[in-house]
Amino acid sequence: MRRLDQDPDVVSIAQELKLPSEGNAVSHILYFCHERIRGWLKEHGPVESAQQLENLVCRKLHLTVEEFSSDEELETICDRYAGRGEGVFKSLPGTFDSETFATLIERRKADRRSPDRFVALIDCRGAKAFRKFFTRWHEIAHVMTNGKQLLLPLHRSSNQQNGEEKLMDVIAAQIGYYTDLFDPILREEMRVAGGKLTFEVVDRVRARYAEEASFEATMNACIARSQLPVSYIECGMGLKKSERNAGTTGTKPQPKLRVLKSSRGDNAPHFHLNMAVPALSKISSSFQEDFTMPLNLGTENLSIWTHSDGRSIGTDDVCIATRKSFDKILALVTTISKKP
Amino acid sequence: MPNENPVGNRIRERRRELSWTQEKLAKEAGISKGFLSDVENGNSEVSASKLMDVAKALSVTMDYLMKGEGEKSPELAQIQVPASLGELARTVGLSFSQTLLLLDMRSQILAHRSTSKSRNLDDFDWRKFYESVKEYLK
Repeated sequence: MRRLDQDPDVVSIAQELKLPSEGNAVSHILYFCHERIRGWLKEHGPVESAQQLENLVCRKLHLTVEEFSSDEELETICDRYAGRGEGVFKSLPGTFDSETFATLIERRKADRRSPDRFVALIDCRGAKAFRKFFTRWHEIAHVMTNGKQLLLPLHRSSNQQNGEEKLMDVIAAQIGYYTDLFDPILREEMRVAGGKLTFEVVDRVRARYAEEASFEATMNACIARSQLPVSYIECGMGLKKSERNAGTTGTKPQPKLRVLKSSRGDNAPHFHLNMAVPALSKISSSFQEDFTMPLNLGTENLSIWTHSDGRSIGTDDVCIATRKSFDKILALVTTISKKP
Repeated sequence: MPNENPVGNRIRERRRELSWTQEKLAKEAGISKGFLSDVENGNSEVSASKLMDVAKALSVTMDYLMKGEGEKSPELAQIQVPASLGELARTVGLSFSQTLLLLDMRSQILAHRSTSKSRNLDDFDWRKFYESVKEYLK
């Protein structure tokens, strides 16, 4: 898999922004975005909340965000802009499929300094509403890195998992959870929780920083900024890849409790996808426990977690915080003592 | 009151849009910071060749800096009409300017946050797009 900083889309954006060609393109672009915000804050004065920051950034970028929660609202918004001579809006109602969260338009009839020179339409229908905070910052990232007057998406690759979109997620995670506002809240809540990152901490941080942000996006930000070696895993009943591909002949494989999703911060343990959860793990016992018990905390040693060849993934002691979510166990695994 | 220093003002505006310092633009354009400051403040005239260097550094056209028109970057001229759009234009009888207008409307869509959208203009459903915006092509 190609590294993001070497992706042609990302390199192209760095070039358009006239950023240095040496070094890591992603780091340069992030620095560029931070510097822009820093400059605006210097001019405007400090802000006290994520919402205030977002308002300021949108104003500076001449970006208006339009959220819609129904087909009718989308039609109304599109008709409004089309009525101002922007025909392209008429094409939008049919383009928001289940996988499309937002669309960003550059208006032709708007003055360069018009507050709605750029318009981001954010789909908040159904479950997409949970992602609206992050989606807004994703669109902000697009405008912020729009070095040319035309971004010309046609010159970029058609790969669905394209580097540009991944880069926008990286930028959104950095500037949407703005260090000067977010980190103090996280530090304070972790201090109250005895230095640990638990699901309760994430809940409280989310409530204080941006309640409309999704739990997952907030948790990812907490993991990235906690400075603790934390992994996040989701476990549920599942089959190994080879079992899933085995077809219908022979004995039907039995699902086991497995790692279904995995991400991690710096220096955190690496749990592979589909890895079986050991019976002795806190996660297995949490899975068996009463559904009404939402929170759990315990410690164990990573040596009980083994690959299919019997090798363990580590020897460190870890603290595991778990939470049940429907038929899954969510777990935050933090290394608490490194063994040589 | 008429704008007495339109070129300098456009240079400054674009430079600030990029969050560049005068020093940075001067370096990119190969001119001195003092000269750039004079141009921005209307205290110096700028030659065509130097203005071209500034326009290139700022990724805008000479036309834009001089007249405030055509603020699009020079690369726009290199855009080709996608084959699938050309085919549609022939089928429905679009004029060349209507075809370019349709292409320009599509280029207004800067980004989709989506896992299902291709950005290849040849894959784009021009017919559907045309049907939805055709009243704006007249």
